[in-house]
Amino acid sequence: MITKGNTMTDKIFRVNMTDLTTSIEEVPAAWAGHGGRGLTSTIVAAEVEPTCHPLGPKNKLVFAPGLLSGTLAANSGRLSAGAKSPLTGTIKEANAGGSGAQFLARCGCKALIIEGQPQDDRWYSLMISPEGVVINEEKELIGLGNFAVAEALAARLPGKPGVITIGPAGEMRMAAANISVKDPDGGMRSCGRGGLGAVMGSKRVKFIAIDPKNGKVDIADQARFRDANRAFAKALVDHPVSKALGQYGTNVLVNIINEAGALPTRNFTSGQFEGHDKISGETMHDTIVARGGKPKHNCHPGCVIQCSQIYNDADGKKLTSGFEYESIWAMGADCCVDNLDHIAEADQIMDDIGIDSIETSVAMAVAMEAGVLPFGDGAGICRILRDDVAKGTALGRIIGGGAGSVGRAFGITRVPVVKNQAIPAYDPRAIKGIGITYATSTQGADHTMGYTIATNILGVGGKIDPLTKEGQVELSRNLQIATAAIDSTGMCLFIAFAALDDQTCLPALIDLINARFGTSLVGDDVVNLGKSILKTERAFNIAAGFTNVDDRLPEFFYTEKLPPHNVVFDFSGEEIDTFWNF
Amino acid sequence: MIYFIKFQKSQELRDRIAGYAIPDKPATGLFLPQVIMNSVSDLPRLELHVAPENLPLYTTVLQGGVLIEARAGMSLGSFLDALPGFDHDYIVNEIQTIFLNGTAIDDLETPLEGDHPILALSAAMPGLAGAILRRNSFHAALRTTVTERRDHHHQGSITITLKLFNSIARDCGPALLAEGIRLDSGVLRVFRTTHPTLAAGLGQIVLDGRPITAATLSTWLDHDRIIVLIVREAAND
Repeated sequence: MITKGNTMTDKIFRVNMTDLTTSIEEVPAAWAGHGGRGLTSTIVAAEVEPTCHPLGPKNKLVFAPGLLSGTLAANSGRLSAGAKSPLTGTIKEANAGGSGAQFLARCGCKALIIEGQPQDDRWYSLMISPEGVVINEEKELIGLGNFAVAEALAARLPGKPGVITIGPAGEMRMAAANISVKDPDGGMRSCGRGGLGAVMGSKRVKFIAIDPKNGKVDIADQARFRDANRAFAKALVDHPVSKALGQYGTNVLVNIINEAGALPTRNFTSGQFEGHDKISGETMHDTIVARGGKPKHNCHPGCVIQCSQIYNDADGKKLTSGFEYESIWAMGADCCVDNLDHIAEADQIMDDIGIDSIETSVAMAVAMEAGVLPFGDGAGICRILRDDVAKGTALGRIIGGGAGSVGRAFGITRVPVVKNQAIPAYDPRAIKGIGITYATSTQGADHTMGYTIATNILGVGGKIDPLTKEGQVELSRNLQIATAAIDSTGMCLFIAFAALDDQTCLPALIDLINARFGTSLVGDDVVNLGKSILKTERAFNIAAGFTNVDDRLPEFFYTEKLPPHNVVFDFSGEEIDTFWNF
Repeated sequence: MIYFIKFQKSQELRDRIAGYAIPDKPATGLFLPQVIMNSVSDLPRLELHVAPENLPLYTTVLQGGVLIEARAGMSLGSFLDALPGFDHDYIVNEIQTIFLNGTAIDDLETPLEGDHPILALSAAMPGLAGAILRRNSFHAALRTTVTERRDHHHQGSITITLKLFNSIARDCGPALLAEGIRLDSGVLRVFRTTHPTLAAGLGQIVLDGRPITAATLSTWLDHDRIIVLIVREAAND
């Protein structure tokens, strides 16, 4: 925990949407050592009644840049959003790139808390600067998609402000609605999971514009910071996974996960997709190059990995950006669509509507099993997104409610969710370690909750034989602890690969934090931070009514064998429950 | 003893290549003591002469799998070391993710056996899944263990389907393509549909020693068959 040196400029910006007032507050001592996910979860746990309705006035939406956001530290521009989730009912944090984190930090905003709810049906926007928050009524942009909002604000507002916005899905309070953050090139980066866009919509805030003016983040020790950043950036750039990400993006995983028999296909009925080579990262790279797009692109200023890309259509016009493996898997293999252009078009529509591309695509696959449209119908998916989800028809609202919503509406039993959040791109029957993370995550199924952090370097390597189930649960636990800590820094999780192999990487990261705040943290502090975050989130969920029985995968993962390996998930409830023995 | 997993695709390929036994001495092409790339003389032989700048893009065809005959029971490492474009250091240091019949492999001494093993190679991959599947990974304990096994005899030759992904294909693919690869024509057909713009940079197309047109090639590829594909820079003609 950071206990000293918090800069005087860091404040809590609070907005009350019930009485339309704002305030700037000192940072409570208990919050000072947190940033990013650590801070959003700490604030939500402290100020939100766990049993409240997620879309009611008692829920609070919290934005927090990471501990290093706003500095020149490489890859430090992730913005965390947190609240009680309308999708899962649990505590929730989702983070995104874009300019939001850097600009909020430069405004001296350690966290933005939006609470209450307007008592009429008017919409508002928030304008944030180092001076504070201004609430304005908004009429012109209501009902518009994210790209139109960004374009209109570019014309309306001076300079190049950061923009955080919701699309029609958020306005309609769909449980899969996301919050979008504008990136430097006008693309949208999403705080995707858990329906936080619906919470923003429930506060009737259409967008938040951020103008940092000349604001800068204070650095306690500039020379030390520069040295640490140099070492940190070098470790990132030199790592082979960073190079693969820069060339092929995260979609490089399609062929690999397919080969492992772990690529969920046709609503999780197979682990291999016949059309995998049509949607692979290799094919996508070649298509981007052939059409004059950018295979390498950064989602936020200061990123040195550049795993994003700009994907053009056949006419050479930009179709989408930030075209991620999990989205391509979901719309591709899970829905059996082997046409990258259809998947890209669907991705762009979802970015515009402001809806989670994992949740919505998995929901679409469940709808396909229900017979709403045939598997493989990429054009049909785009049509439903445009004509139903974006317009809020009955079908659109069912799909916009997520995979669980579709399963309930159509009586489907094969619904891949944990705590009502769709399971992403790695079938837990074929890679069981990920299944433990899906089951035990405080936030529903999420592949980013237990990342491949260097647990051994952080001193949280397992003490139990990792080949036993007990050891595997321990390893998953340690990954989640380490991930929670990294999520607090504002760092992109992709720093994990370098941290895993390069002994200089994690020490350099800790050095960056120390140089920023004038602290003397060591690895144990980072581990304790991660443990504290997980326990805080778990306590909120228990108070909200969750029990160990919620830490389970859906029944079909235990009973339906997954081809080609014909395996099932075989961790018992008792074995999973040992996760929380710390 | 090796892991035995049935793949639908491997069954199809096995059926198609039935009858193509390794000859005593190959008539043409590369001959190595333990690995034979493209030597079956009665296979159709397709040569594409392509613009130099497009050659790296053609390596993506290797994601669909090429057929290579080898001595049954030879080690994975020895097999790779015998291929054009590969060397020991590269195999040890760069090929960080290996699948044999869909199972992640750590040991380069693993023998290649079975009716039609499928071997896939990749660089180090991102994500927890990438780390779990990576060779000798700290996180390998989180893999699912496949327990179904079958005994195999260490005799004669076997046909291996080799798939190269990402930077492995980019690094090693040009040498393989220049030497000539055996593959299912369907793999090339899919590749042409996903890479339509490459047609513009295509120079000469030669089928069994005779130049053909792009239209003839399209028609010819409509039929499923095993072919030998050679891709060369047009500038070298």
